[in-house]
Order: sequence, then C-alpha cells, then structure tokens
Amino acid sequence: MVAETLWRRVWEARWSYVFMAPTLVLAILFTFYPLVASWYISFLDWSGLDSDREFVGFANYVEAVSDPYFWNAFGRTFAFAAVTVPGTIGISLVIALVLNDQALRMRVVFRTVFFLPVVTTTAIVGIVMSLVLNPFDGPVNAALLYLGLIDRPIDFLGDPNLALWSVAGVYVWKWMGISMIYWLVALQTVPSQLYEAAQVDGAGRWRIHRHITVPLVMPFAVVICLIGFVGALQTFPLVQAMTGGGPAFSTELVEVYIFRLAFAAEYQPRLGYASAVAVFFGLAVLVLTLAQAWGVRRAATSQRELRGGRP
Amino acid sequence: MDIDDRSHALSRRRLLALGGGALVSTGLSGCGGPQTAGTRRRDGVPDVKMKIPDPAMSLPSGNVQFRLMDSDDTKAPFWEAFFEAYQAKHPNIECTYDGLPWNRIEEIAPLGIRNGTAHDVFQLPPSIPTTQAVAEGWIAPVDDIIPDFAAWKDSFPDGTFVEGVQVFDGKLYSVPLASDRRYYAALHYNTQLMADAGYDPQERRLTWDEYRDAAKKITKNGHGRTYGLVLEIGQPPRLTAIVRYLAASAGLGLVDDIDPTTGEYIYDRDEVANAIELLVALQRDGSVLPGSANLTAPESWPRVARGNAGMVHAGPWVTVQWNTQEPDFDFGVAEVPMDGSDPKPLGYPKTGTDNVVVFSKSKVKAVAGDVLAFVTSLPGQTAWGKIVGVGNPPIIEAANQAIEESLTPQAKMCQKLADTMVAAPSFLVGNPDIALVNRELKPLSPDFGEIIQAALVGETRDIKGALRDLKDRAMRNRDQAIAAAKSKGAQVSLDDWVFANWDPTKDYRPEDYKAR
Repeated sequence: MVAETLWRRVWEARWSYVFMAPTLVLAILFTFYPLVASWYISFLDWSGLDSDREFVGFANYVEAVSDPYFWNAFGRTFAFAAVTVPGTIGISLVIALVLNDQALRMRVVFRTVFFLPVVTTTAIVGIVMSLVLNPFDGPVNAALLYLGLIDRPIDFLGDPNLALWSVAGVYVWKWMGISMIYWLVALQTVPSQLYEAAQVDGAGRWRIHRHITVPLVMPFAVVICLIGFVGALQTFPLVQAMTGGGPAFSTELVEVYIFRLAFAAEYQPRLGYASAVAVFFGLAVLVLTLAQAWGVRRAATSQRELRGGRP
Repeated sequence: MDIDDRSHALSRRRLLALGGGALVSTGLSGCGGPQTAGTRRRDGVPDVKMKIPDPAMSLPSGNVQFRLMDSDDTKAPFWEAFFEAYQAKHPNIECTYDGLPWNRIEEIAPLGIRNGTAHDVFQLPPSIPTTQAVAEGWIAPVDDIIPDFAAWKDSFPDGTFVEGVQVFDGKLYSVPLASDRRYYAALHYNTQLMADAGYDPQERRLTWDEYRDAAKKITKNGHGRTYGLVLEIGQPPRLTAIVRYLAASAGLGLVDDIDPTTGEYIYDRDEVANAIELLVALQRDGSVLPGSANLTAPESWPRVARGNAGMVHAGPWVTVQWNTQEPDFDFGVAEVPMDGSDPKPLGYPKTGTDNVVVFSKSKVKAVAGDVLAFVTSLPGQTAWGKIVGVGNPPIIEAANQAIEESLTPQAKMCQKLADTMVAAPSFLVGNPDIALVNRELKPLSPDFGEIIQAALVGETRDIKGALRDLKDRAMRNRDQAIAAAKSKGAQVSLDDWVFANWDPTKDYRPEDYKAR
C-alpha cells in the first residue's frame, strides 16, 4: 500500500525527476564519484598510474599525521585564511557601505570595477600580478622607488618571509568583489523606514551604522564569513600561478601540497597518500564549517530576539 | 646528467600558450594530407631535404595512420620535414606528429595507454619509468620490427644499450635519437657586457673570483638596468646541475651525485658546499637579477637576450634557441668558472637521450620500425643534426662530423664543450639489479635542489649542516632500498656503487667494468 502511494507520487512528479536527471548524472560523475573514489584511494599505496596498487589500511593517514610538510602547509593554510577572511570582509563592507548610498553617482561603474577581478580567470590574475610585483621591472616597485619609500626593490614573491602575504594581498583584491555583492544584498534588506526614523530622531551616520545597520546585517556577516572561509582554503590556482608553492615551500598551502604529492612529485607521484592528506584536510575543514554553522544559528536566534522578542 | 631540465619546466609563457598550443596540434592532427610543415616552419631553421629509402621490410599496403608524439622543443621542425618526405614516399600512410610540452605528455600518454589509443611511437613521460612500461606490457620490443636489427644496433656507439635502461631481458624497448653528451651548465653571456667588465671567458676560463668580479662589474655598469647573472632559483633541479658543474670545476669527481671511488654520496664534500656558497655570495653581492627566486630556466634565458642580465648557466639548447630566435644577439659560450688548478671534466651517460618507445597495441609497428631505422641512420641523423642542432646532438658520431660546417660559432663552442666531457661509468651496467634498488628509493625531502634553493633565498643559513643531513638521509635511503630489493630477490650490495679503477678524467670503457 505504502509502496503504491510512493510510486504514484513519483509518477505524478515524473517531469521533475526528468529535469533533475542531467544535474544528478553530472553530480554523480564529477562530484560524488571522485569524492568516494578519493576515500577509497586514500587506503592504497598507489602512484595513480600503474596497476600495482596495494591496500595499506590507515598507513597513509598515520604518515600524514607525522608529516612535517603537511602540518606546515596546514598551519600556513589557516594563517592565510585568518588574514584574508577578515581582510576581504572588512574592506568589502566599507566599499559596500559607500556604494549602497543611493546618492552616489556612478555607483554601477564602481561596483563593476570592484567586481571585475572576481570574474577574471584566476591563473591569469596570478601571472599578471606576479609581473606587477616583480622586483626588477614591476610597476609596484618602480612606484615605491620613485616615491622614495624604499631604496632597494622588494622581492614580494621571492622573499620566503613575504611571499605568502603578497599572495594573500592579491587574494583579497581578487575576491573582495564577491563579498561586496553579498554585503550590498544584506544592506538592501535593511528597511529604509528605520533609517528615516533614526534620522528624524537626530542620529548621526556612525550611530545609524552602529545601532541599525550592524545588528541587522549580522546574520549575513556570519554567512559571508563562512563562504569566505571555505573560499580561502581553496587557493590552488592563484598560488600555483604566482609562486608554485615556493620559494623554499614558503607558500605551499595544503592544496598545493596535495598537487605536488599527486602529480608534481619528482617522478614519484603518490596518489594514495595525496588522497589521504586531502580527506584528512577535508574532515578538518568540515569540523570547522560545522562550528561556524552553529555560530550562524546562534546569531540568527539572537537577531530574532532583537527584532521582536519571539524565539 | 640525469634529467633534461626542460622536461619539468612549466613556464608561465608555456602555461599561457598551452591552450593555444593544444589547439594548434589538434588542428594539425586533424588534417589528413601531408604535414603542414610549410606553414609551421620556424625562422632560422634550415631547409633540409630528406630522401627516404625503400623500406627493407614490407609495410602495410592499405591506408593506415601513423602517429608520433614527443616533447617538441627544437625537434618539431625535424619531424615536420621528415613526415613531409615520408608521406610523399608512402602516400597511403597518413602521418601525424604531436609535439607537446611535457606536462601535456604527462596527461596524454597514461590516458592513451589505458584506453589503447596511445601514439604508435612516443616519448615516455618522466613519471613512467621504462621498467614500469615494460613490466606492464605497455610498450613493445623493437628487435623484430627494425630491419636487420643486429647490424642496426651495432651502428650505435659502444655502450649505448644497457640492460635495465633500454634493454629488458635481452630485448630493446627504447631507442635514443640523440646523444646526451651535452654541457648542461655552460656559461652563456652577453659578449659586449662581458668585454666591458674586462673579461673574455672563451679566451681564458674564468676563476670563481673572476666570475664573481665580472658579475659585480656588469651589475655596476648596468645602473639597475642590467645585473651580472640570472639564476633559475624557481627550478631546483636546474640548480643541482649548476652546483654539480661548479663542484666538478673545483676538483670533485662525481657520477649521479656519487663518488664512484668510494660509492658514497658527494653532498657533504667541501666542493659542493663551496659551490653553493659561491652562488649565495653572488646573491649577497646584489649581482643576481632581482626576481630570480621565482624564475624557471625557460623564463630566465630571455632575460640575458633582452639585456637584463649578463650571464646565465644553460645547456646547448639555449644556444640553439638564441641562434634561431635572436639572430642579432651577440653572445658567447664558455665552460663554468673553475676553482683551484685541478678541475674535473663532467661525465655523460652513454645511453643517449630523446628516447622513444613503440606502443604495444600499435597496429603499424612495421611503419614504426621503418621510421626509427631511418631516423637513426646516417642520413636521418645528419638531417636531425642540421635541423635540431646541438641542443639534441645526433647519437651517431659520424652525423656530428657531417653537420659541423653548418654550425654557428656558438654551436661549435657547445660541441667543443661536449668534447671535454668523458663517458661516465654506469652503475646499472656494473650490476643490472641496481634497477630494482632504484625502484625502491623513496624521494628525499628536502632534496639536493631544494636545499640549494633554501640557501639562495636565505631560508637555510647552515648550508654544511643541511648537506651533511642530506647525505645521511640519502645513504640511509639507499640502504633501505637495497634491503627491500634484496628481499624481492635482487643480488646487490653497496660495493656495486664502487668503481675503484675510475679516473674522472678518462672515458670509462666497457672493458673497465670487468677490471674494477
């Protein structure tokens, strides 16, 4: 009886399933299959090429836990996120606040300008920015030298102490446009009556932002942080194009490390071990994301309380 | 030396050109008629006509396709000219040449092997050792497809074919098309800038002190627009080549980072540390082009041709590149600077380079045999030498003499530098079971190149300590690999790396193996 109703319901919604099918097939092929395959491969000692694959259980995971290169890359990755996420979100909020002003002329032009880097191919941005930052003939050093701010060119991408932060700077510039769009959407949800009422009450710009804008866009902030954080862990194309993980591993983030293990190792690729590192890293990110999701719900609850007192 | 450094240099220009390059080659593979050599022929590449002899074995009479893939570089013009002639001779054989960068071969070869559509003849990517390809049955022996095989094999220099390198169980699987007698780290320099600094390295070999002084003077004369030297710090395997050459120039004899008289790794030797210190000193003097830390070798060469730097260490392929692409650039080629009075020559492996293999599932193996027989014959190798140039010199010695008059002065210098090199002993010839040990070796991390890089970017201050540690790790790694290989039946011991009768200044001859 139950089966019959289920079948009837499926049949009635048959067109929905037909339209879902292409996406589902693609998702299975390019998302779910690689995901599951990487779990399986992580238990193998396998180069990824030959037929010589040996099941080694958790040996790859044990090796990853005691691999200093992995932990260095792991630490660097989170340091990178810790700098770029607040940077991107803070700067984009300021830009969004300015561009949200209906009285500002050429708002659309400015929005486009800030958004352009987002839609530019990352590899191209990486290559162009490495030319821009070049200490020999790059315009940044030329400008700094001309202004007398420095007396020797700065090797932004060649100095191991500086390279990661130079890449971080380019990352913030490239991606702040997308956060800006999120902020603009968030800002437009704030009812204009609230601003008008506040103005009538004689509140200044700062107090309006402090007591109306900020509390109302707070839940969005958590979501934007979450998206920004996950994005900041996926840095492969930019780092690969700008430094390739060098010099002396100083910009080797986890994704670049996984790539080196799986494909670029000096003639000895290790797909099994690379998969184990990737799964391990994925789990660590999952835990952090769940913690953030918990934060989102907390923030949403507190906002509802703020708005109407209803739980 | 071990690796052709161009193999893993993914330059940014290459990266950009990748999309376009792939399109070009797909376009070429698509056209059915004779190769479009006329449209692709590069400037400065000599127009050499080839006369294809009648086949010695029967070739397919119906319409067939023959496909060849290699790493292009300077080889594409040869294949284009050859296939044009070959198709004119055999109109029923449609030939396709795909000259691709190594990173594309890394993708295409394994895929083609897996689904049975690999090229009939191709270069194995560095990630697939020949041993593995043979063990997996991916490639076919050429013994039965090359006409008059025994005589053909004898036409190569003695010691070319080695069990464990190209020969497995007595069958030949991999055919070298060029000699690896190449001086990998020759000083390529701007003649004018060098003369302004007061030196002529071709007249008299520079000492390390003079080299450093020349770099300083070029930098000083350049007023921020030209620096003494460009160094490809972003490509560690290249740094190892430069340091090996400098260490040998200071008197250290070495083969594959091993001192054959003791069988030990050379990393902790003073000559090695001093060579690295020399490069660090150049860096500290401010003589190295700013931005070198991220440069790969192919990105660094144009910096000299453009006048941004006075010198670069490079192989003969750079001579060929500058001769063809920058015909007006006045440059010189010289030996690496030396330290002390007893520089040792560099060794080269007799096993050749630019090896190609035949796909085991190829339906036109007879054509593959016919093509390989011609390309390795004297007329084929002479045409190869004239078109490809000294970057990949012919492996047949007579062809090298035949091309001599067509060479530029710089290319002649490359030949002269190659002549200073001696045949190195091969550990594999001494004991073929060393191949089994090599399979068990784990990658060292950080390796030699990464340590040199760390020293040059200021990450490592204690260079000698890092090198001692590297030697300890390398020795332990080899001990473990020997043990692992032995447990699988290999008969091998540490003594197999000791060649007590080795003289670094002389060719190591086949009979020397017996006398060691």
